[in-house]
Amino acid sequence: MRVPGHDEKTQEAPVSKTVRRKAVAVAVLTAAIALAMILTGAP
Amino acid sequence: MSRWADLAAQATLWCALPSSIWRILFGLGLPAGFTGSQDPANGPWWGLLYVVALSALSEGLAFLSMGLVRPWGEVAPRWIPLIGGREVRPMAAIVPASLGALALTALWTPIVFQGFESGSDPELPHGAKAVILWVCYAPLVLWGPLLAAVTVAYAIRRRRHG
Repeated sequence: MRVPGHDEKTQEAPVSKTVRRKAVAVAVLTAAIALAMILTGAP
Repeated sequence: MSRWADLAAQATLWCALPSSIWRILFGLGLPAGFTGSQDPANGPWWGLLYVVALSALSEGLAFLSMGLVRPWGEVAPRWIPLIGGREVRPMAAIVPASLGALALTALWTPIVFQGFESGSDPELPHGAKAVILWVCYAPLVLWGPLLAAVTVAYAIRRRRHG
């Protein structure tokens, strides 16, 4: 039976897909801020 | 549930996030531009705990706005002592949310628009460090107005549907 929002190709539930995307976004944001702080050097 | 209110509630979480991340990285000792007495290395041992707690509190408060667009903002979850399973009175959510929106707008609007006024204090961030600090804190200016908008949507919905 087809579940609305269910990804047929990856067999992944839509909720876990959303959570994973958000986790990746948080990780990318953290890396970007950390990198900016490091690249601008010590004061 | 209107789509825009749901997106606005989710946006409040993202508004508070960059400053929370910056704060934790600062607490971990990454170069944030603070020197001398402002340098976390010269601060108290509980500095990191403090910034992590402050960030958790900030995200926790931002998460409360999700209650205005989720069923747990209308009927309290069963695991909450005393009020679990009971209907949330509209005013019990609208009043604190409105006061929170006002407080957040009053707090962040001047800070973000006036900058952090490093001035001539050599111990505060300058140049690129000040820009990074500002970029991370700037989204906070939207938190109050977004919460106000979500609160209005909640009030209208509760008035229509109870």
